[in-house]
Amino acid sequence: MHVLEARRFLLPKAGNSRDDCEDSVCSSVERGRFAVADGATEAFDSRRWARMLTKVWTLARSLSVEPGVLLETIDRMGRRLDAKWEHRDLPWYAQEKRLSGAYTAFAGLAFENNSGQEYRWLFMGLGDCCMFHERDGRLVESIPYVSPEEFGFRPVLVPSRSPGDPKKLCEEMRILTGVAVIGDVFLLLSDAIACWYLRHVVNDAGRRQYFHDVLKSGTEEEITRLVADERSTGHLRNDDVAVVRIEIIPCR
Amino acid sequence: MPYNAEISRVNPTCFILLLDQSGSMNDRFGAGEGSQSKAQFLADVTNRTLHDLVLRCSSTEEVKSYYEIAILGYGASVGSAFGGSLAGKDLIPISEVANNPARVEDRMKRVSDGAGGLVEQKVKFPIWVDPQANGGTPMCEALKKVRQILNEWLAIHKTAFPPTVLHITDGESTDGDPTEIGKNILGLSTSDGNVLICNCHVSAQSVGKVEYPNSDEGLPDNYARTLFGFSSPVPAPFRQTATSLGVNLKEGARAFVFNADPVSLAQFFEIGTRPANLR
Repeated sequence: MHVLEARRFLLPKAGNSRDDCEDSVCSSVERGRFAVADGATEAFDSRRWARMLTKVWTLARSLSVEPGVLLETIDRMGRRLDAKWEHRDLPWYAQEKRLSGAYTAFAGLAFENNSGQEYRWLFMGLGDCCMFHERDGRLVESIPYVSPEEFGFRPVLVPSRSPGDPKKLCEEMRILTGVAVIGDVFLLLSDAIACWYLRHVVNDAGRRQYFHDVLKSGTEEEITRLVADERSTGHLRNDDVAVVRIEIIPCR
Repeated sequence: MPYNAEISRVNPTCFILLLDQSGSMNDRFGAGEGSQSKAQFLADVTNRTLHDLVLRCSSTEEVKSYYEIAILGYGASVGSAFGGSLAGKDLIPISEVANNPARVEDRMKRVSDGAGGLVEQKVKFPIWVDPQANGGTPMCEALKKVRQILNEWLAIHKTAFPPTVLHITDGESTDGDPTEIGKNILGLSTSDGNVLICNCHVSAQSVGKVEYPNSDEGLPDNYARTLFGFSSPVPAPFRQTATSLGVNLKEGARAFVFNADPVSLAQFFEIGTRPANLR
């Protein structure tokens, strides 16, 4: 019998406080659900939108990735977000931004134990938050991007207001399933750290092992220092960082 | 690589909009029944640019001061072109600009109806600058004022993304040759690069437009060559915006438009505020 072991980290951009952090991370080992999101800086209340979506993925009683259900959930959550600003006397710029709503990139992972020997996993993502699945030190799945050059081109994000083209939104969603066995490791990463991982870490066995060791057993200070060091060398773009690391381990 | 510094609240950049407000700016601009005076069009584009910069810095009720803004006018006098409670102020954080328009007008804007169409919705449109057209063209005095503002700002912001000066004029300087002062400003810098000057000459004539040339050959007169002479080469971060607007820049292109029409002027502002997209 195997179980999931997970750790999550959230670090604001250097120079910003935690209150400014527009990334979100949520996890539930009991439910087997994990999510990261990255709110669009220039949209309205994207920080709260990112948190709402990671929370609903992780804590909802049931999960469906059927397009109609997904759109309905996004719509319902979007109206809930908008309602928080009703009857508020907003300055002109907030009024106008509110009209366009919030946007976030999102990556969610759900595991279901399958006969005790393996887990079935389900991934749903939109935008440039990434999921990496590794087995025996090798990358076996990299979604939605496989190379660092793919980052930086305004991806389609999850909107809080009704999308002009729901069909296109569904077409852009990445929904995948697979099987995980003992020893498999999954990473959910927001864009800056995902790009860094693909460019500088995934093909360097020593750096990869160090990164995983720090994520698995390091302190918050060690993670913070690693991120700060990589930012100072220019390898890691200064941006918020959201990470969830999940490993399939033997039951103790 | 220059023009690469991160723009943030602790390390903001600055924009100086330098607006010709001489008497000739009363002339009509653009073709057709809807044409306005150059001064009116310039005020509209300026207000729209400030509006867009504010929106880029705001997330909910807070405006983060990633930029400092100065709007200088020159005509009968040289000084701040801000109206309302900002009148007389030079360089101001964008948060203060956001919260202190001279007035707010109701305008109609097209927004998505959620079903693939567009619907008109009333929005608030802030006004900071009103059209002015009076007096001569004291360009040298205005550039000296720009230089003074920049010297003070650069003394404090040594590592910032370099300031950008957007200069719009419709005529020749009436207080001397601006070349020396212009080139002097071009020599000012942060550790990330030199100050950028983008010059745009607007004209009621809709012929002979020259956009972002890479040499002064073929420019129609000495006046155009003078403005070209103190226009910055377009840095790489601005090129993507230009391309997205359908403006193809040759190698070595300068931030200079001569005989601009309304479309060119609007594009000039959008390209010139390119740092706003860098975050």
